[in-house]
Parts: sequence; structure tokens; C-alpha cells
Amino acid sequence: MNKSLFSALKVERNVMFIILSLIIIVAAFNIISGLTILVKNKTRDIGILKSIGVSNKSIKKIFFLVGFFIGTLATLFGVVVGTLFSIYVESIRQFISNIFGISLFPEDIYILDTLPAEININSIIIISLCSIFATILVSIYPASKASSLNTVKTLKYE
Amino acid sequence: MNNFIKIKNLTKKYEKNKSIKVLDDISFNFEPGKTYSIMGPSGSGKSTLLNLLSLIDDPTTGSIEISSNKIKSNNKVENDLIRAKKIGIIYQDKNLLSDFTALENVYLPNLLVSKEKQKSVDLAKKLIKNVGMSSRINHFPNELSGGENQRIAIARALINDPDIILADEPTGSLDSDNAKLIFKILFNLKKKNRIIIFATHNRYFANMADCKIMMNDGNIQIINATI
Ligand SMILES: Nc1ncnc2c1ncn2[C@@H]1O[C@H](COP(=O)(O)OP(=O)(O)OP(=O)(O)O)[C@@H](O)[C@H]1O
Ligand SMILES: [Mg+2]
Repeated sequence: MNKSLFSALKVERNVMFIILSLIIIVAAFNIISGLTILVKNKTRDIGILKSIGVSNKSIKKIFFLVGFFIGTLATLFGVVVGTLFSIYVESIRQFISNIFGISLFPEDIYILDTLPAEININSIIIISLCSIFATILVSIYPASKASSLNTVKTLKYE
Repeated sequence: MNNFIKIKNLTKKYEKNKSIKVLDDISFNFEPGKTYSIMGPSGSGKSTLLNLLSLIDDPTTGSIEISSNKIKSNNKVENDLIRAKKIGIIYQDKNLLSDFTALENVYLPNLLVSKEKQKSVDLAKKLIKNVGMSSRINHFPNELSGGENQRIAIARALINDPDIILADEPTGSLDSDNAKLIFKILFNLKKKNRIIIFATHNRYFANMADCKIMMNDGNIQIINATI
């Protein structure tokens, strides 16, 4: 009986990993589209910066840093919220169970009477680094685009 | 330290379906201490010429020389630096960054080259005072009128004490009183070594320049006013 439970849990874990990875990909695309819109909105400003002699490299840096800051702040926010969630996971479970009158994590299936949660510093560090790395990766494209715009056209942009 | 702009056989073409020749083999010397006005019908290439002179656009063929430096259009880094240090640019409107105050807009180009914020700020305040906008330094561009925006833009164009000032219809969206004020400020910028070039549709202001450049069909015709 335990064997099949463990393999079921293992499958659940893997599926969870895939779902969470998909969420990260969606979030990454959000950064790309957000930055692309920002570049579009700031097209005239890019032209102005060029006209006062700001280099393409600096313009690239500006938009890259915007993406990087958003990603890093989001990562910090995620770590704080996630850690709090892990610490209070049992209270949260009870709270939700009470409100909706359903039994999350039923004792008779999982054998445990409380929802276990382990805060693993290494995981936090690895996941944070991965997510910051992902932000860096997705910020590069819109930033390069901003710096490679045709200046004459940016100045005509309304 | 002779400072001038020399353009030679400057041609600008756009290839799209059929080729459009906006500038056709133009050669001219802009001399220091003089003002130049560029006139011509809409689409005659005034903005194109000014964009080439400000190193924002690249000529199809021909060369530009600024103070004996031959401009290489593929050396963007160098050209950005020349623009920052030597060229002040004023467009018809929306010259300023909307997220920054008048003061910030003015000191930014100086910060770019000097990296000393307090000095830049002090200099910016002085220049803003010269255009009579001291009471508005902390206002954002959308809190200022069109004419006031242009005055701030002039202050910004001057902050690195450029040898060259380029203005593309700087009063194009202003009423005549404001236009007079802007041109009064512009003509006061004439110094021994400075070249001022502006494009305008206004005959009256164009005639005030030392030299008039008439553009038509990609060619230029020079009319020296005061000789
Ligand atoms: N990217 C482009 N592709 C094709 N043609 C262009 C392009 N940019 C400008 N032109 C053409 O170049 C010509 C000159 O344009 P320019 O903006 O220099 O005129 P202008 O003299 O400044 O006119 P205005 O007085 O209306 O400002 C125009 O005929 C325009 O259609
Ligand atoms: Mg024009």
C-alpha cells in the first residue's frame, strides 16, 4: 500500500514541478511583453535621449535594468510570501477547510494529520537564482530592441 | 581649434519601390560665428539635412566634417559623444522627457559628460534663469506651455556649451509672440565660435539669419543676407 502511495506522491511532485515551471515561463513572457510595451510607450523618449547624445549601450542598460529590477523585486516578494506560506501552511489549510467546508489533505489518504512543509534554504537560493537568471534572459531582448531602434523614426513617433 | 561644419557631396536616398532622392549632392561650409536659416517647401529635406548634421541619420553618400573631424557613420559611440558635447538640438515640440522636471531635463546632458551632479544642477539653474524660467524648475513638461517647453529645451541644448546649435522649426507650434521670444533667445546665442542653424517656414525669422539656405528638389541655393 505504501509503495503505491509513494509513487503517486512522486507523480504529484513531478506534475507540480511542471506546472510551476509553466508558471515561471508565463511570468517570463509577462516581463517580455511588459518591457516591449514600455519600449513602445517610451519610443519618443528614446529619441530624445539619442538627441542629447546618450549612447545605444546606455539605452540598452536602462531597459535591461527595468526588467532586472522588476524580476528581482518579484523574486524577493515571492521568496517572502512563499516562506510565510510554508511556515503557516497548516493554519492556512485549516482556515480554507473551515471556510469552504471541504477537507484539504484528508488524513485518511495521506496518513499525516498535518500538512508537512519543509523550508530548505538551498532550494530557496537555487530557485531565486534561477528566477533572477530567467529575468536577465528575458530582459535582454526588449532592451536590445530599444537600443537598436532607428533614431530618426523614434523622433517622429507620437 | 577652428570649428566649422563641412559637408561634401552629401546625398540621401530612400529606396522603397522607387528611389527617392531627398538630398542630391550637396556641398557647403558652415562657418563659425554665423547663423543659417534653412527654408523650403514641406518635404524638401530640411529635417533630413538637420538630422544628418546632428549625426542622427547617416548619408547615403558624401561626407561630413566637424571641426576637422571626418565623421564615420559606423562609429556610433564616437558620434553620440560628439553630439553630446558639441551639438545642441531643438525640435518643433516634445523635446523634453515627460517623466522628468524641467531642471532634471536640463542638467541631464551635462551629467552625461561631467558626472558631477551638483555642478550640473547649478549650471542648469543658471541656464534656466537665462531663459526666464527660474520659477518653474520643478515643473514637469506637461505643466508648462509650448513656449515654456521650448525655452527649457533651449536651456538644455546649451548646457554643454555646444559649438553647434541645430533647431528644426523650433517655433513651428508657437504663436508669433512666443516665436519672437524664442528667436530672440536663439539669436542671442550667437558667439564668436558658434554655428547656429535653424529650419523654419517663417520668412521673417529666416531673413534675420546671416545666411539663407533655400532647399528645393534636393538641391540648395545660398543667399547671403548681410554682405
Ligand atoms: N524613411 C523614409 N522613407 C522614405 N522617404 C522618406 C523617409 N523619411 C523622409 N522621407 C522623405 O524625405 C523627404 C524630406 O523629408 P523632410 O522631413 O526632410 O522634409 P522637411 O523639409 O523637413 O519638411 P517639413 O517642412 O514638412 O518638415 C520627404 O519627401 C519625405 O517623404
Ligand atoms: Mg521637417
